[in-house]
Amino acid sequence: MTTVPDFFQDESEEALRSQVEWQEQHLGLGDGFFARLLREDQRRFSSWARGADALTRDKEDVLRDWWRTVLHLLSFQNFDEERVRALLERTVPTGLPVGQSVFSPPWSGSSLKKYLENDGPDAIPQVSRWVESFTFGDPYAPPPKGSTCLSTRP
Amino acid sequence: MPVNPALAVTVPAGVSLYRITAVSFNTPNAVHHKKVVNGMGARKSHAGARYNYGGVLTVYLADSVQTCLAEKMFYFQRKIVQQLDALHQPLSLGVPAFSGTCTLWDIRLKKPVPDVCHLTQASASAVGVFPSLMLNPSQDYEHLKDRRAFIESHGYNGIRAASSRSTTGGEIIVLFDDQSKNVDLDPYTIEFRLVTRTPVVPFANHLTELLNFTTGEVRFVGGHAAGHRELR
Repeated sequence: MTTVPDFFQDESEEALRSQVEWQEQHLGLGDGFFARLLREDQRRFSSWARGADALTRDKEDVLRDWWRTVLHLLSFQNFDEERVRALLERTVPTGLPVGQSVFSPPWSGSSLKKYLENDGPDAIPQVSRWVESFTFGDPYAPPPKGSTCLSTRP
Repeated sequence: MPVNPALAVTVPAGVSLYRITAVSFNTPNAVHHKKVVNGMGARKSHAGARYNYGGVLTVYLADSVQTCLAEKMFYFQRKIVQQLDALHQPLSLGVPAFSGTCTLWDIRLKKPVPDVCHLTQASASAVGVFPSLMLNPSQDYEHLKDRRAFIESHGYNGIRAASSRSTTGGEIIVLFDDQSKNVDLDPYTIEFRLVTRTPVVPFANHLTELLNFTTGEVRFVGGHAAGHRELR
C-alpha cells in the first residue's frame, strides 16, 4: 500500500507548516521562495514556519492554493520528486508565444520557481491551469481568446 | 421539465463503485479519505471534464473495477504520449516513466441516490444528448458539459451513462453533490504499465518499440507489510 503523510490532505495551519517543511526538504524550496511567493517579509515567514508568528488568512490561503498545485505537479510527474524539482528549476527557452502551444508554459523564458517568485499569488492559477490541461483537459485544444494558457473552457 | 420517471434510476446503497485518484489522497488517517468523493477536484478545476464545466462540483464513479481501469488507462496513456510529443519542444520534461502508481477506491454509498438520469442510446435524445458524442472516446465535448447543466437544472441528482472507454458495456456514474458524508470506502494501491503490441511485454523504449494503444497492464500492489511503501 502506498500512502502519504496525513498533512498532505489537511488544511489546518499546522498542516500548512508541515507542507512547507516537506517542500523545503523534498523540492528544494526555501523560506526565501515562500516569502517572495507570498509577498511577505522573509524573517516573518521564517518565524511563522517555526510556529512563532502568524500569517494573515489571505496568505495562508495562498499557501493552500500552492499546495494543491504542488499535488497536481507531483501527480503529473508520478510522485518523482527529482522530476518536480527539475521542473521548478529549469529555465524554459522562449519558444512559441505563450498560449500557442501546450509546450510553451506561462513561464517561458524563465523557470517555474522564478515565475512564481516574480508574479506571486497571481502565478498560481496559471500554473495550475497548465498542469490541469494535461491531467483533465485537452492540451491540444486551442486556447480561448484572451486566455494566457490552454484549457477547454475560459 | 420535472424529473422524467422513465429516465430516472437510483444508485443503490451498499454496492461497490470505484474511482481512481493520485496516491496523494491515500493517508494513514482514514478521516481524509472521504475527500475522494467531495467533488472539489472538479469544483476547483479550470478545465472541467467529460460531464462538467470547470468550477462545477462533480463526483465521478465507475460501476466496476474494469470500467474504472479502462477510464484511467485512457488518461494514463494520453499523458505519457503527450510527454513523448514534448521531447523536442522548449519544455521537454524528459522521457517519461512508462508506469505509474495510483489509488483505486472501493466506494459504497450509505444512502441511495435517487433521480439519476440514465442515458442510453435509446433515452439520450429525451434530454437532448447526442448518443454518438456520449460514446466517442477520443475527447471530451462541450455538448456533454452543456447537457449535464441542462439535466441538473431539471432536478436530477446525477447521470448514469456508458463509459466511452469500456469495451464491455461498463457505465460511469456522475453525481452532482458532495458524497463525503454518504460513503464508506477502502483504498488499494495499483500500478499501471504500458505494453507493446506483439509480443505483449512492458513498453520500455519509445525509439524502437510500438506502443499498444488499446491495452495496458494493471497490477494490484499488496496492502500489507511486504508491499507497503510510504511517501515521506
